[in-house]
Amino acid sequence: MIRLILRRLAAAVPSLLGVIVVTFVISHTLPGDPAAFFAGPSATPESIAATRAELGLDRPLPIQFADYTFDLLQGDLGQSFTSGQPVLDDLLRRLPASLELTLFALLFAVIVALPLGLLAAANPGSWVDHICRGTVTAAAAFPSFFVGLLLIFVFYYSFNIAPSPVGRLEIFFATPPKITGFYTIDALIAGDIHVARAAFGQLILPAVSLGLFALAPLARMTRASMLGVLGSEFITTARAEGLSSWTILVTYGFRNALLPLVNVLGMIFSFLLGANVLIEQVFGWPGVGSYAVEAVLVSDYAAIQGFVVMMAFLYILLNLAMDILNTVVDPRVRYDS
Amino acid sequence: MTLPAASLPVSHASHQNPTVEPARAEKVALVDVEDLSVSFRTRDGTVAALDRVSFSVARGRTLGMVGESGSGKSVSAYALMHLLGDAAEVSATKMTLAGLDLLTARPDAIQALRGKTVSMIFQNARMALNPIRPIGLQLMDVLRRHRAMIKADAREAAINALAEVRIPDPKRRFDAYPFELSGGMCQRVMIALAFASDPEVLIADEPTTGLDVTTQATIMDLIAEKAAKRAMSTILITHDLALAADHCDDFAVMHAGHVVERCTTATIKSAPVHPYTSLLVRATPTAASSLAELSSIPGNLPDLRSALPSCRFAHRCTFRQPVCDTPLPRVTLSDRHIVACHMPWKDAP
Amino acid sequence: MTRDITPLSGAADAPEATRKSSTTNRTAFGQFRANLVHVLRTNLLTGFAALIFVMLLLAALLGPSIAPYDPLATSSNTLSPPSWSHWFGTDHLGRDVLSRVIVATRVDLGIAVSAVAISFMIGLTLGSAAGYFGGWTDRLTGRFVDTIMAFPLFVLAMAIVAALGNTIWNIVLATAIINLPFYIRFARAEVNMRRDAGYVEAARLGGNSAPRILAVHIVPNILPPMMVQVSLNLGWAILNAAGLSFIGLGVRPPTPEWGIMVSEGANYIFSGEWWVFFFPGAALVLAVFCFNLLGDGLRDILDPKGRT
Repeated sequence: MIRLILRRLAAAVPSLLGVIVVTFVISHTLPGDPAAFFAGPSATPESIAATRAELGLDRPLPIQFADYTFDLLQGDLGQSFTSGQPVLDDLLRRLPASLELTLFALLFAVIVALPLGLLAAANPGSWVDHICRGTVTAAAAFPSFFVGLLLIFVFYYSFNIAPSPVGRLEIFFATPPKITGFYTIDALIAGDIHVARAAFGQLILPAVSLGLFALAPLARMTRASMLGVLGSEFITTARAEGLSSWTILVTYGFRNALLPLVNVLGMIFSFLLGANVLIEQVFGWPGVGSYAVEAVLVSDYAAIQGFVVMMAFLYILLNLAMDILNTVVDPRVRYDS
Repeated sequence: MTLPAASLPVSHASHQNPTVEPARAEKVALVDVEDLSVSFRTRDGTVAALDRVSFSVARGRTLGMVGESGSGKSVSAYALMHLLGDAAEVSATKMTLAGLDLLTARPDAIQALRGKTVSMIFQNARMALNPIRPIGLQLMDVLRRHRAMIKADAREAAINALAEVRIPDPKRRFDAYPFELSGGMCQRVMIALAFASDPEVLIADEPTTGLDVTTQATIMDLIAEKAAKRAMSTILITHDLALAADHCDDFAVMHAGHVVERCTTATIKSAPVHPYTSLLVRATPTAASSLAELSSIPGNLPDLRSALPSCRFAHRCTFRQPVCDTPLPRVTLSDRHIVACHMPWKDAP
Repeated sequence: MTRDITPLSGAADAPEATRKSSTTNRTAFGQFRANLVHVLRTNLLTGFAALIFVMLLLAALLGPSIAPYDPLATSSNTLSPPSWSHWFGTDHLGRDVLSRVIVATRVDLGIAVSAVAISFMIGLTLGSAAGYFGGWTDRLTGRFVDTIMAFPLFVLAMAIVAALGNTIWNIVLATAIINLPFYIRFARAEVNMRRDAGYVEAARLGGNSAPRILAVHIVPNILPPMMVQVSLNLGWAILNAAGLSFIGLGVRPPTPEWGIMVSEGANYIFSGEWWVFFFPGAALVLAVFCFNLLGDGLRDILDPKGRT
């Protein structure tokens, strides 16, 4: 198992390297002059030049790249000139918000898509099947930002059910003491039901907006995987053995159908992490996505670089987790490595 | 006009029950099928897989269903077990299994038969077992389904079942996955699963295909031994005539969805009367025959999607006459010998 | 010996027995047509999608001619709800929303189609080369794809547009780049599958050069499944482009474009003027839905076994 992990990490190094290079190139092509910004509003050409030398921006690009990589290896992602803080700190502070949102979106997608997929697989070709597939296909056509706005208009403005979309908690709620960074969980740990409910209430609309897009691939994969499994020889054997429909569907069918789903879930999770950006904008969510958008709009190159590198790193970790999960769920995989 | 006498090789000791005599109609038929027709609706049209197939198996006897691949042997078995999908249209004049009339029975009565009164073992056992479930648990699933057992008892029964099919070290093998076992061992597990509930009828669909000859022999011995103990009716589906001849009492020869000849093993060895049966027998290699001596059957199976003539073998038959285009008769030559041919040969030597 | 003759197949059902269409003599086109008929008959949605597609095409091509008002013309009639004179209402600058939505079709479809076309052609070339030649070509292409895929794709698009400049052309470029891995991988897999096929071997033995084999023999065979992917991809490309303009990258006001219009309209939800954001958003949904359905229908026609 350890060998598997090490091998996967080793295979990921070239990708990581590629990411670093690309990010570096992109962020140095950004318009705007960080030196001028750092030097301040009352800067003179001399002070700007001085600031530039200070920041190392007058050195040749390859040297800057080497410096950058060296810093990276030590965990130094540079300094954001918008916040004045080290980028790493900014990101780590905002990451839990994005993770909480993404996880809830995934949860929503799983709760809705899995049963739909199973239902469709159990009645292939019937009207149930067509409705399931039609629904998820329609859901996939909605841009996430549009869904978000639509939901806000309907549930907040028209029906007044949802809380105001101003982020993770409205002002009159105290943020729970930080243990995981997830407001819902932390509030529950602290025993504060009201804050937990409020935090959850704030989560619903953005999570649904984000998760809606994931419904289609998830439901389709579930249906396909289940249909594939239900058509296999061992299911015929199970039927010939006279096992109950429940045993066949669940123990023999669903458990086997789950195997490829694990991978799909991983892919969807990483996709959602990236799609966070728009939802965070719409709902004022203080996560890494909105951080990235602000950084891009003002050309805060260190912040952009840091964000992208961190995301890539998260992807790699995620793929690793998927691989490990695979060996747990599928005994055949264990013996290959 | 007679065919040169064809004889089937006897490659190892025959396991037929020598005391079973032909033709006493009082023998209870555990499987009785008459005029079974099955067609499948597909995108390319209707496939007439089976056309008025009839066969029966008495208690304690073994029926060999033989024929080329695609002749409908497995479809017949699946139809009997009600394992065909929704795309299949099944009709018959008579279809009884262990006393239950399958044509009028309620679905749950038929469902209750499966795995308990009638069991089936499949070709390619490794594929036919759940790949991510330990074989011991799969055995327990069947045991607990058909016999009221608590977990601990079922576990012990499962280990015993594995021992009965002579899987070495059954306690450890309980936790094994199918991919860890050889083909022969997987087939033994299948047999254990099939016999877990003491069935009255066993259907074995190509149980030895893909196994080496020694393993084949052991597997067939195992099946025969267990069948004899329980006086079961067995249907052995195979394209290996020699194997069938060693283990079956009766034969149903199939071609393109028709049963062309039903007879006893003795008859098929000495005097088959349908041209196809004779060709099959002659095409079966013996230890003595050289490559040059082997004959093959000319032509191919007809395309079952197209319009079919009444005799589906006629286009491959060397003895075809104009009368062969008329509706095919079913000729009863004796109590245990029925052939579907306009001009069956008289018995040979 | 009794001679019982029971007819096995009655005269009534001799050649009549199983007469449905015989498939043995069908040509490739015949098969295509049979599938098409089958699909259209069993799947009204595909027919519906085709209709919508035609509508969108017309709107894109004829845009300004069929719009009731000048999409850029402001007026004092701001934020008025849908009415007979303004079916979709007016926005905060008094412009007719319907006209803007119609004219925006050209912009959005144009961006998506250009991006997918570029992506498709480059991806097809690179992927085919990688799948056919293997070795270093394959490895380099693989690394290239892995690098792109290591980024959250939307963020990468954002970064590219921000780096290269805020223009429509850069949106096209960015969308094309993030779609590349998709086509490269697909082309590579398909070409790889066919690389050792009989007809390719024959062509090789006949002395054909590799590019010729690819262009004449292999690529035409992989085009049908790729067309399916293109159709599905178009929907995604539209969403991407709209997303970029929603956060302010690429298209700039007063150009009518669905994403920007939603963004502008977002401000007015809280005062109840829903029509400003709703109709452009609905147009987006319609377009993407149409392309997704077309893609599915196309897949059913060309390769029924690939359905999910």
